[in-house]
Amino acid sequence: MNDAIINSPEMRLRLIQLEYGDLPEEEFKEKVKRIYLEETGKELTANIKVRTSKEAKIGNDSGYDGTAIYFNSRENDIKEVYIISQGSQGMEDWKYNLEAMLAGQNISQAKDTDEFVKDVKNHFNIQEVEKEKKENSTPIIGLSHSLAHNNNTTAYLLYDTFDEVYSVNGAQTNYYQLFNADNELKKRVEEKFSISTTDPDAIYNIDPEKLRAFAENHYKGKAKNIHQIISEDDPLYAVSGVRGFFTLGDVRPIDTIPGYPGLRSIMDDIPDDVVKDLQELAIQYTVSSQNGGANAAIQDLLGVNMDVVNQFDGIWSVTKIYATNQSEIDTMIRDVNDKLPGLLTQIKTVTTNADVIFQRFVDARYISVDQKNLIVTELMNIQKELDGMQKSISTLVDIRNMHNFSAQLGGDIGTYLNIKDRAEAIKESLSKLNNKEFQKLLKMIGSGHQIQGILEAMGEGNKSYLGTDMILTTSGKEKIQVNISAALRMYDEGKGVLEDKLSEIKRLQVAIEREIVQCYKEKRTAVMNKIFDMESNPRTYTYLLRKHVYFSRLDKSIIGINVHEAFFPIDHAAIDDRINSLNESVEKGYTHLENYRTAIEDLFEEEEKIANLFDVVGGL
Amino acid sequence: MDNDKPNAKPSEMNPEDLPDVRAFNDEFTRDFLQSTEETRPGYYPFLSGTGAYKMDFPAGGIVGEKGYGIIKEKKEGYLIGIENEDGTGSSITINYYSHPKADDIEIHLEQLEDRLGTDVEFKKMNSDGDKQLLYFTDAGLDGEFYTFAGYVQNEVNNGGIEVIYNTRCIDSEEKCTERKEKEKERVIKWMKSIQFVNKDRK
Repeated sequence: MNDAIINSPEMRLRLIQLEYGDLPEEEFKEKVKRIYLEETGKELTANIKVRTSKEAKIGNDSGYDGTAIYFNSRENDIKEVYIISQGSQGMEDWKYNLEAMLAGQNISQAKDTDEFVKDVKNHFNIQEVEKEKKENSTPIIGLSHSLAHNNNTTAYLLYDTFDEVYSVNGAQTNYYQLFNADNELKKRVEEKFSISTTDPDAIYNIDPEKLRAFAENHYKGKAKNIHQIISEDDPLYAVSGVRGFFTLGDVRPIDTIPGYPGLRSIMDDIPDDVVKDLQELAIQYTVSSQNGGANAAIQDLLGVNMDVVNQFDGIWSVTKIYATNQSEIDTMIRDVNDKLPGLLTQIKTVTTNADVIFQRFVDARYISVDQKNLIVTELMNIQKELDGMQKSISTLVDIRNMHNFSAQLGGDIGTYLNIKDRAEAIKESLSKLNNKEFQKLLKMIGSGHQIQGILEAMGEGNKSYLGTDMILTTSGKEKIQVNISAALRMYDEGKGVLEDKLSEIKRLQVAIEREIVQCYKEKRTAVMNKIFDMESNPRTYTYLLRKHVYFSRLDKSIIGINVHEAFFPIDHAAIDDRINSLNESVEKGYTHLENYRTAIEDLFEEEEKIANLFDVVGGL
Repeated sequence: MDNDKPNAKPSEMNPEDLPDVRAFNDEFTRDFLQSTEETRPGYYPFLSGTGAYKMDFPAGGIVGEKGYGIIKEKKEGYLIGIENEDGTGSSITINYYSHPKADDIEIHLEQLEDRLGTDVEFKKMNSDGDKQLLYFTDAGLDGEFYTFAGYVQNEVNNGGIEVIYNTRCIDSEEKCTERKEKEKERVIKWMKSIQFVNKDRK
């Protein structure tokens, strides 16, 4: 399948990133064509059809979200389907996924992935072909980032959903999960390790290392079709050494942050249950911040709605807010009560092991000793405040469940103030932790997970990336970096703008014709009619004489009127000038764009075919 | 006192008053059992954690706590390990999904077949009147196991349950085939005890 349409890691990464954009279908297709053009220098000669899991009404329950791209061309013998899976975006489901993934009893997103692919095949009328006649079949290729790697790969292992799976910075597959779902694996594990069939939890007593090795070997055939790119600095990868998770397929490591040893090595011999909690925090943090930044992360993790809490200011204000925002507050209270205990356990795991964990960050030169001490102290403070907050909240929920309004109000006010104090203390601790150096560090670590970071670290030869834009470097004496994606956008969008301008000018011309020239003609006709009328009925105009001669008796009359008319053509030269100069400005714009294009083309050697890119974009 | 009421939930009863069988001796499993009264000899009434279905639970079985997973009323999955009366062991994996529609039955059967890892034919059977259908298959002998599988589709509302039933048999192929044939009817009867709890829809 060397001649596959999407055949380079860079194209796959850019496609996956594109899917996050939730673009309207037409725009999405245009962008797919553009990526293909930039990366290959050729125009895409296949039809593109798109179907989303939303259209197929799949994933409502599990939070699975995916997009299928079907490339099809009879003339060019192209038929390929790419399935870009997104892990669930909703917090609720991922929390469940994590627990269930660790517990091993959830394959629902993998099941949805497979259902989606079956729907897509049916929708695009793709015939199932016997395995032996592979050359006639339509390859189904899975693309994924982050949590979706687990969906795609698990679906592939269980249901043979894909022919190939490509992933970047993925959450790995889990052998406990597969043990419960794949009966073949289950039987072989029970035989190999002679574990009791009657004890449903016996699998958890097997040495994880041995189990991992067995699972890797069991799936080695399929692993040949799984291809991963993993950033050594990906926080998700750093914490994926936890028991249960195993890596399948070939892995291309990418060093996104040169000069640091990578996070995985820091985590390597920290106890399993600690890493498990860190893993959960890391995944929640990545999901929440991908969805809505730090504020969303606080609300997702803590349940505390900072917009509401920030309004608390003494008893009176609490009462006032209570009256106006009661339902929001109610929701928040229950939310905090649901979320806090779990978070607290995780935070406690971190604080208990804070010295060990953060010392490793010091050793790896991510942070200094002073910074480590600051982190440990503030984390302890946060834990203390959270502890107090949980106690207040749980009494609050108890009171709430008594359905006694005044007790509720009284209880609420005290507790709100308590929560406010504690929230403020936490905010203070957070603000101490939120200094520039830490922000830089967190941003740096976070970037290790993002697709853009990977792309930027992946550049080869004269090609590099800025975000998802492609940069080419000239080969001359002086190295000049040109943002080709932006250049093509400017050329394409510039042309579009000029076309718009031209059609506006045309409309202006039509308007002038209608409003001025036409009006002149109408007025002229009116005047001519009047002249005709005057010349035919001169007596009717006798009264006009009064203006000129005083007479007491009407002994004079008009017997004839002869108008010496001369109509000059309308003089709209001034308007024409304007139109001309407008048209000229469009011409100039085109010349400008073409000069710009030539300037860029001239920077590169002919064989780099930059001209072709512009040609195709111009015609797209 | 309270324990004297015949309809008290087993999980709230004094452990000493519970039947001395494996299912009741296990605290986690006990929570799912609805009564100490047998539904038929050797089985107790079991209600799933989602409340979406009930079934007869074998006295010699326990539900694995570590592998148990549930999300709201939408999904639930777990593993049951059973000590059979003849001294052999069986294990059942059960996965419930709230979304499967009766129309999509082919997709769900195909997925269950994939999980079995062998080509099978499902036989359609009536179960609980016309409110649901059971698709049953005998997946045959493989290594130390023989396997049955079933898919229960709710015909009134959406919902489907995947069931994979393995029994370990370390003996000659002939003997195991013989035991499998003997066990088959019992397993089908048990699978038919899995019944959806259809709440009235507004």
